[in-house]
Amino acid sequence: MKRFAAILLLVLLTSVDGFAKVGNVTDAPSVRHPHEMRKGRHEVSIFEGVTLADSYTINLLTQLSYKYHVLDWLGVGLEASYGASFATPLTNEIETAVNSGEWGQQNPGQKYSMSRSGLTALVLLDIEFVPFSGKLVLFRKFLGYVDFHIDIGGGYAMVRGMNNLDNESTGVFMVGGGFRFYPTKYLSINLEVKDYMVYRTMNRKLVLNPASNLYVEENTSRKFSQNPTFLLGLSVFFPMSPNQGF
Amino acid sequence: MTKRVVSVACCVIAACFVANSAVAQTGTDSEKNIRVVQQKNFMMYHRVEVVPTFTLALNENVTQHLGVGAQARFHITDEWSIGVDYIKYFGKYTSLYQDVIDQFESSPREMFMNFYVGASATYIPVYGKFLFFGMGPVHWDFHLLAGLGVTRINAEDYKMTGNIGFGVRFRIWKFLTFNAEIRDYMFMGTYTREDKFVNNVVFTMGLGIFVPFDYDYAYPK
Repeated sequence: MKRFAAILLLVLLTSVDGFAKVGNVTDAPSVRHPHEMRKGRHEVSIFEGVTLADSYTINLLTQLSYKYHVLDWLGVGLEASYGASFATPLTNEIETAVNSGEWGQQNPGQKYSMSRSGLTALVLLDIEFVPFSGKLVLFRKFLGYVDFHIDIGGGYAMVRGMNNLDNESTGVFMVGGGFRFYPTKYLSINLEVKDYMVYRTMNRKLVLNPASNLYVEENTSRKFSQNPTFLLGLSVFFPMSPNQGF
Repeated sequence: MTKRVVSVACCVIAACFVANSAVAQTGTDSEKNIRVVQQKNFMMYHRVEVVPTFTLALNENVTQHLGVGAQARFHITDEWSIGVDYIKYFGKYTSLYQDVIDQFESSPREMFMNFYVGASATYIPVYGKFLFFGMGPVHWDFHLLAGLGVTRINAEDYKMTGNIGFGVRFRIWKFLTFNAEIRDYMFMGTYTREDKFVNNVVFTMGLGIFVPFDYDYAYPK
């Protein structure tokens, strides 16, 4: 009888341990099987962007980029952008004022157009860090993935000179960041803000020549121009299915 | 002797049964059948959010405005809220303003904003959670905003102003969030030479303080 009681006690103790493993779920961590949406995957993207708070020239950028994600939080890539340039309202305002001022009186029948520069092409190598990644719920119904990434890079820029300003080739540095929203496991919609810092001549100024008493154009000094750019894009990931984590 | 053997055997079988039962509950088969309903981590329902804010105007070139202010919102549901906003602007000329005068002998049109006050509604279509380098999670939401108010510009000119925008809110604690927004305040501006439609796009960030500080769930976890 004593042996029976001892064995029964042993059984009860064993079973208590078994229940403890499943019973205390309140403080138990969630069982997670995260998808590593980037690690070991290739990303091909297309973006459309516009530069913000420009002085004299607004640039519309069309960008193609490739990225290889070495780790889930680290990627390296190449991006190439082509830019179209447009005058800002400030430029139009200055041109109107100059045409109706002394320059207009000195040059009857001519129309003043400011000599200024825009971005023709940008080619950069960049590194991407992904400090934040996670999941989202859209309209309390659709599940998706999301990440926040930071980009830094550098490369080559072609600058378009307009009117009496020459084209030039120069360097560009970039810092930026953005969000990727993944409605599926192989597709993402991207929102990014990047600052392309380009060393260039921004415009030519009007200077009164004391000898002739006529206005002539003269280059302003070259400097790093800030070109904060808002980009909206679409990415496709290869292979189509991500790895699954722990 | 036989009785003892039988009783020991029964006990061993019982032990195995109980142990197997425990393993079955944690094994892979059960995972396929168990549905876990997780509690939403951050509740805003029927709470008041007060946000001291810092504002930076984004799409200016000859002037630059910074602002400080406050927002107060009542969250009607977890998705919908209504509130009031106030921004006090501090404006100055940028170096570009002087450059234009120096280079083209032309004074560009400019306008200074004094303050904005208005009401707004907010809808949260997206919420989720982030891991920070694998640690966390950090809970967040994405919200859409629309509002109507008045902007005072220059000395004494009041302009009806509509605004739309979006923002994100990161949960720091049960009663504390970090908020960031981008809004476009639209009004008919009075410049030095003419009136013109203005898109004043601003970036605003602030700390959201929720009252009451704590909350309970209707059902246990």
